[in-house]
Amino acid sequence: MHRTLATLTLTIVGAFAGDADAQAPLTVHGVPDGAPFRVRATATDRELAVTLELDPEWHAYSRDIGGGRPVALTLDAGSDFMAGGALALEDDGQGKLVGQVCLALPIEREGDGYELSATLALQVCDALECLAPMKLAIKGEVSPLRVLLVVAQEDVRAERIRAWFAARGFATDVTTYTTVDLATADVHDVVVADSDVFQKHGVGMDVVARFPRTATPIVAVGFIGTQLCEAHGLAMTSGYI
Amino acid sequence: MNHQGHGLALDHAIFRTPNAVTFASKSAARGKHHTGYTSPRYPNGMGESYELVDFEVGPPDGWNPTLVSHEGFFTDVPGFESLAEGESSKMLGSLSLARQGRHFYWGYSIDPERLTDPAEDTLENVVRYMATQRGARTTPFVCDTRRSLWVYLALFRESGYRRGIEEHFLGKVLPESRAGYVPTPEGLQKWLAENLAFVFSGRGGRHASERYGNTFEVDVDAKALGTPNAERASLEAWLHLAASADAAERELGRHLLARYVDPAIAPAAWDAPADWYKKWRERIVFVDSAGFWWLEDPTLAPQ
Repeated sequence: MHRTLATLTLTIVGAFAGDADAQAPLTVHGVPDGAPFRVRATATDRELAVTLELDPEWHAYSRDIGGGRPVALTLDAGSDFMAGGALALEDDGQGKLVGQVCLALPIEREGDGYELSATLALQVCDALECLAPMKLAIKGEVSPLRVLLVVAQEDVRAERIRAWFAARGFATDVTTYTTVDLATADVHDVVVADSDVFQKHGVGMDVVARFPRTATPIVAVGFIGTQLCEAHGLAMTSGYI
Repeated sequence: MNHQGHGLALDHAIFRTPNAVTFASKSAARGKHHTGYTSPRYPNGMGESYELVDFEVGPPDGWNPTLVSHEGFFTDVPGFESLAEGESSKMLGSLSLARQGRHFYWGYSIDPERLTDPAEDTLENVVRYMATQRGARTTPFVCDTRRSLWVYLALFRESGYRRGIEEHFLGKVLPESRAGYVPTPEGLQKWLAENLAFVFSGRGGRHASERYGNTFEVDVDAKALGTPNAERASLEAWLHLAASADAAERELGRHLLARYVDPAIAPAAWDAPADWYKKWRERIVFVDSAGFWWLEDPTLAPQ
């Protein structure tokens, strides 16, 4: 099977993923009743992912091979997102899409809002017939990932980091090690626990030890990160020297 | 650890999506502290040179201690991902980027002004990758792994450091488990060859140490049977013994199963060991750092 690099990495992400809460589910309109395929769509603010699941003996086309119309995934005019790169998908090496296929389209936010509107055009065939070409509407709100930045103190360094996350498309709240609490942390998608270097980080280890045991994943930075991971009972800090 | 990294797992999502990260690298000659060792990122050892990349635009303003994974200190933790090594003078196996469960360790103290362009892209990828890890499980840390005993010998070979062999080893191993130990490099090498496969810890009480965290005990029962405690074949041998018609064998097998099978998944009594194994054989792993238990693989969906 031919795989593009991008689809391979998408597969890697899926293999390690826990709950993919951070990916917004989208609605798909226009699939005929009884169609020999199903479509699911999710997105982050950086990627639109469409899963096409074809019944046995049915296929679609990744490119023009003289059969049906190849699939095309495009952002609609008026969408708050635009394509940021080429569509990545996997086919059978012969230009056909069979079984479960992942289509990944890099996207970039360009509007003021977070409404995503896209169109999936495709035609499905079996050995003897092709259904009429169809267009499916994909819609939904794609909110930015919510990051809670935990810092020693809300100073210029913290503001630089917050601005960096904002520039990268994250919705970022800032709190400090002394005030962070579980409820606040767990309404975010990721907690980033900042640290300056050893002996300059300005946070007491007793404070780090009380860091909430979140359900939200944590990116633990630098020296405080080693202490935080140790406080949370992770083996990967057992080799600290 | 300074501002550099090497041994990057470039096929991992944190270097691929959504940003395809490209680092410019420069070759460096393998150092003495790299030679003769392996690590999660260099399972077959390092070549004569290696590729260094910059995560920060220059050395940090200050120093950061190093997290190390000396030749697999805790790589038996299911799902643990070692994704890059830091440039450290200590030894091969310094962690700079790693994930365990819902925690990601980013070893470079973050300040946007200091990050190189590819490091910025990587950091964004890391945050997006971790957003998919809500609910990821891992094993709890209970005690040091057996590799911490081997490190005394490695440090001597690297730098001539003898205190580990002459002092720390004595505090780290119960007296009855080191009877006859000769506190020399050759003596430690001999002890490790004979006993390392049979040590265990993490049961509290006699295994607790205020100075060393935990102490190790040689399992004389497992050693007498020739059954290294972390091996699947040993578990199966104990299960076989536990079903023996011979009362002494049966008792020994059940004793070893009780010692090494996590109480969370062990039966109330080992009356039907084959049935237990049929249920659990595809779902269990042995993890030193979780307390030298056969336990449920946390990377699998709970039953």
